[in-house]
Amino acid sequence: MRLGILMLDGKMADVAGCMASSATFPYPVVRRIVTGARPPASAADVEALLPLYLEAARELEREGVSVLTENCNGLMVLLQDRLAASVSVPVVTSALLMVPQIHRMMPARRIGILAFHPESVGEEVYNACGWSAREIPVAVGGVAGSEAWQEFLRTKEIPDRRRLEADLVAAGRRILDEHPDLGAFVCECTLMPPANQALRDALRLPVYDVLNLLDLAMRGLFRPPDSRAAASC
Amino acid sequence: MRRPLGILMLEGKMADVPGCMACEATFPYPVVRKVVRGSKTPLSAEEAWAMLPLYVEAARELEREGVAAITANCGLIALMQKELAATVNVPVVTSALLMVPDLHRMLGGKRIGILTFFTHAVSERNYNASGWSGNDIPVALGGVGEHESWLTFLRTKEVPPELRAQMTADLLAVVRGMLAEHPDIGAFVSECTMLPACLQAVREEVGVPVYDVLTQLDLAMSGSYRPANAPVAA
Repeated sequence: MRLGILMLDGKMADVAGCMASSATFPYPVVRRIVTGARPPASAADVEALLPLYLEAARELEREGVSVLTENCNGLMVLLQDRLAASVSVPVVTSALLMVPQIHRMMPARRIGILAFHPESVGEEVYNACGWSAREIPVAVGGVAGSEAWQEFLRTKEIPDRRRLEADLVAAGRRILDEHPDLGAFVCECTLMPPANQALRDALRLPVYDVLNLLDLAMRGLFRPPDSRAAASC
Repeated sequence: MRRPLGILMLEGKMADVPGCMACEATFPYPVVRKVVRGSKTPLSAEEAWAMLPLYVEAARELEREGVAAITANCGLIALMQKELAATVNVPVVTSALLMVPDLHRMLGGKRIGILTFFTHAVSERNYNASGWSGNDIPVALGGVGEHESWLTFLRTKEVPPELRAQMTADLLAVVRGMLAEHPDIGAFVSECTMLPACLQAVREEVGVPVYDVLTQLDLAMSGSYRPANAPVAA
């Protein structure tokens, strides 16, 4: 049982909670750098990456991974259907894939979407995840205005964790102040998990991110009925 | 401190077997169980709907007690997912079928095998209550209800070792039969809360992911607690 991660080419954050860190996942992981893949800035960039990602995904499948993901969610979700149809294992390219089930768990509440750049998420991305904001009430916020987050994005290091956490909590609180009917957050950005537990503890609302979804996907392969068996394995 | 999972329990004897809702060993987080006074195992959808006020009241009590998520140990309550979930402000999970639309996307449209106890009890009505339709998502349905081993478990709520071996073999036969008939199945979702007791053996035998109400509850609960440093080996 292994998670396969397709990695962009270049320096990635080696911080607990990030895809590149060995501390993040409680199960074995195989990472594969997609040679030549640079962080995509547009839908056209993402389309251009499809052949490289298809090949790398099939390679990891042949090596026996149980679930596939990639380390730059965001626009990469535009490839979700085609990547998932090309392999036999579940593929997760965005935490936003779980929005329909979170909505069903809290049908009277709004879902707060947290992204790095809020303008980068919208109907096109939602549709790629199989839902529409016309049917599921959401509110979007982001951290792009925070110097601490810009520095993390630029350097892939966290010199001041407290500022990073405080700025994420502030972004969450802004959505909550504007939308008192908020029931949960879904964090689209793969840089946020290092700070998400602070968000959970500060606002006392559930926060779901790509790690929660990958944990779920992997539990399809291993979830013993006696939870103590999980802890010892 | 981690907030607990709240479980709404039917009155009466429930299976105290790892994997079942009533068993302490099943969940890796704190749990609060609340017996819904006046409830009894519903024999029809109408009987289940008649219990909605009792469930709403008990769910609100659990919410006031500070649970992080709420579930129920009765499958027919899933028909009231929307009505029950809308009355509280924490996630409510009455069925593993809630994850089917997301899983459909993760599988790129491959068929999903639905596992249940009695196949005649699961239909479009249940799918709709979980927010999707069998017209949009290809599924196949299979159940253990014709196997004496599972009927014995249902009746006695006990799993002695020799019965467990037979239950596992019978469940595996159901799963293999579905895979033989539908080679395009990409994952299974178990609707029945009694099957998790034997599902890990199935996962290890067939190599196809199997999701159940436990994996769904683990997800719901992880919205409140999932440290960046992986907490435990799983």
